[in-house]
Amino acid sequence: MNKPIRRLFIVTVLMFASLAGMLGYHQVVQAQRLAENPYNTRKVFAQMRIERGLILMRDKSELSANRLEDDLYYRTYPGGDLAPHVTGYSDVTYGQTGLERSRNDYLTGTADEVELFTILDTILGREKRGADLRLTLVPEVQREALDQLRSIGKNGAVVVLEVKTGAVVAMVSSPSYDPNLLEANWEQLNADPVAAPLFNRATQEIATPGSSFKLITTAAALETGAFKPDSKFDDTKGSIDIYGNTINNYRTLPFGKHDLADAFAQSINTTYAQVGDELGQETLFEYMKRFGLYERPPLELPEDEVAVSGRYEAGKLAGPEKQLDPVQVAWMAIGQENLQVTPLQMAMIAQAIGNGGEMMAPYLIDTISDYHGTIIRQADPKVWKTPIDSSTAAELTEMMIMTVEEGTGSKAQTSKTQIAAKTGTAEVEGRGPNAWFVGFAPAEDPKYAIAVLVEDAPDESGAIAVPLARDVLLAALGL
Amino acid sequence: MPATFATESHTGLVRRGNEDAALAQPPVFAVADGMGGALAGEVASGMAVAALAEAAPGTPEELASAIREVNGSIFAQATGDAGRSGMGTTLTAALAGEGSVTFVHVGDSRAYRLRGGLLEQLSSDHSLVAEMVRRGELSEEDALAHPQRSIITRALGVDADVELDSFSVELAPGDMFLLCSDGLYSMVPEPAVEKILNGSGDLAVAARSLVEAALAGGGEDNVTVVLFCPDGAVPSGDGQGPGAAERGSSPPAGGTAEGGPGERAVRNAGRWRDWRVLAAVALALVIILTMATWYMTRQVYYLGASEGRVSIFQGLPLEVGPVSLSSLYRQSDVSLDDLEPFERERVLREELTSLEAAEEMLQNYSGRQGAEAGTDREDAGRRPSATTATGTGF
Repeated sequence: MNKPIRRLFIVTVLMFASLAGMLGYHQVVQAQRLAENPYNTRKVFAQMRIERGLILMRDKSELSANRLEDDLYYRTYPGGDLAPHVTGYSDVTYGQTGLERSRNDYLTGTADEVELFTILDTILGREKRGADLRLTLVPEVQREALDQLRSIGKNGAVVVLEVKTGAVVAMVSSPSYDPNLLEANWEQLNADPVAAPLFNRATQEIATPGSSFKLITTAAALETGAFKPDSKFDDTKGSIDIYGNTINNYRTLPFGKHDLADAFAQSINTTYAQVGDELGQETLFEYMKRFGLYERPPLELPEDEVAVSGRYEAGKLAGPEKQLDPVQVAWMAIGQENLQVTPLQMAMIAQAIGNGGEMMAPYLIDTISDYHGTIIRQADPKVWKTPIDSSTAAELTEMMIMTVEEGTGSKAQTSKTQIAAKTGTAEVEGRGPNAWFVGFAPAEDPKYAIAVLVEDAPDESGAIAVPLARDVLLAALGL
Repeated sequence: MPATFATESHTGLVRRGNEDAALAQPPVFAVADGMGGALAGEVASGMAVAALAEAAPGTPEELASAIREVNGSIFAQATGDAGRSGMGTTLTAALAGEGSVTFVHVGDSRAYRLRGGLLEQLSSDHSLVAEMVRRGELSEEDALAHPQRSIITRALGVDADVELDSFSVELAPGDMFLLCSDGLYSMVPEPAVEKILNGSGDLAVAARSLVEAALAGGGEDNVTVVLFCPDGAVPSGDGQGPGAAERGSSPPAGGTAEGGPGERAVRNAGRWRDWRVLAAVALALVIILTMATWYMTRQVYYLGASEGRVSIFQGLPLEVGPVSLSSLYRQSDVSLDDLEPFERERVLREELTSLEAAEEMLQNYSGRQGAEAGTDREDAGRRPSATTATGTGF
């Protein structure tokens, strides 16, 4: 054998020997360690190697950002407690909620359209990078809503929508929480089932609408032609007997002769019980559905964080298929009888009325852009439903103006703009009632719609929600 | 009638040194073609020829033993002197006797006989391609163009012992013999050689014509020819006196790296050449890589800041000593101060991208700046698009 062949042989033998050695090392010596390396951990770490997209408010201020530590990205929330129910959180231990969860694909750059990897990226061995979400939330409005709820010291929610687009301008749930401090506060955050700071009251809480539901009853009454705003009623006792059941006005106040518009503005239960009886359950359910009840609003939050509004029985949606007795129908017309709605849903109803009868699909994300601002997706406002025609919407608007001018919403009067609204109070067993404010402004050219829910209101008028709603609307209008 | 003869040698048109050597010292004639770098080829062929001249063998046995002896001395030199490692030489020697000519042959120089106007190759090449031809793996024509045609399988001085081809041919009146290095037959086809030999009445003229033909054919290698007529049938003209061990007509040049066709190496030898070739290839690679890298760096762009403004740079955001690998391509009117902190941070990361993408990014930053000014919350409400449909946002 000559020299080169001999050398080649030796080298080959050595290479095979080292190959066998390494195989043996990993298969035998390292086997235990490899086996104890669960796939889940690797997956989590894989995600943590990705620079997640930012979540920004409309003015590009940051709600969710990143902190790089030991080559891993950790989520930080520069917005603190400003909008945690919208962004949600993304955490190795506690998982994901909110947009962090529902838009994880964009935020981690795994959505198809996010980043077409170029040859250059491949050569440079770049990791995938997430896309930024720029939200429709306006920080001043969001801040005002949160501060207002805090200042009255009650749990509650505020949703503000752009009337013409359905863009969510503010979405607040109080008490809020700081997602930066999840680990420190986790037990405390989960300790109080009433306060429930992690719970997004704006979209998850289903609460009895009370008189604010009269928006739907009135819409049905007018659109079907069964009643007109000037349809005449007479209330002498402040209460009414419906099939042997007594329905009272607030404080059993008698109103005397009045028309439907008065009944709306003063929230006269006796009259609305008669209207409901006249319309019947079929019509009421039809209009509930027209206004999007019984359907999940198409918001970008995870499905289980957006509740469906409607009539509930034993914790489950109960639809029109079940024949109700006339007393139940009368109660339903005034917003009781197991009706349960979310603040988001009520804001959408106000938005539809303010928008001439067109209900927009609500949305939180204005644009999704890649790392250097190239827009991948842009919100395209869409009509979701058209529950009523524009003349009905106009008549309703007039009645809502009256409510503010001379009715239950008088505390929403302001010289700066004309607000149109409907208030509501719904009794809750064991604590103060839920106070509602549902409306929009400016009444003559609606720009922002609002729904406010305050839990455990201090008195039965529900008046507490009214000035709060007014101030948030003024903040939205920049007035 | 005494033997007539002529020799001619030329460096060729490509090589810088002549590693061939020739001997015409009746009755001994020889051609040697040396190999090995740094004059080693010349040394080897020179040693072979000089040894024969000195030994002046008179019998076939003396010829063979003189050759074996010089093989030993070349080998000793090659192994003893690092600069001459791999040195060796071909040798085709002839001893004209009474009524016969004896040949001793090793390597790929050749012996031909011209008898009755017909040229006939007497020796067999000890080369890789010749062996392939003998085994039927290669045609004669292909052998001439084969990239490894210069690899020889046997030579003097590459091993302590050497296997010699030794054979004798009967003499006929008028026989003419040609000894030549591969610089002749790889440049001049045999029919042309035959024609030249037949057409010339003078050995010196014929020898010169052969060399000229080789040069005309490309002259890619040293070319050396020895012509002799044992019975003096063809005159040697004014040509060569006896006893001349001839060196190539061009003076030998210094040991320089040689490349190109005709580069010869014996398997198992010529390591010197290997690393010279390697070095040349490596140098070429470095040059190509440097140029390619430079070219590549001009294809990439990145966003960065110049004078507080977002700008596009061409090249790499690196400095190598005092040399910057990038240059400003375009400065925009977008001020860094107008960007959000996270945008500023991203711009200052100076990430490589294409020009197209960089332009788009710049557009994004400047475009949004403009949009920002017009964004009043009062105006923020967009009319729904005309093409509303069922379905939702995203």
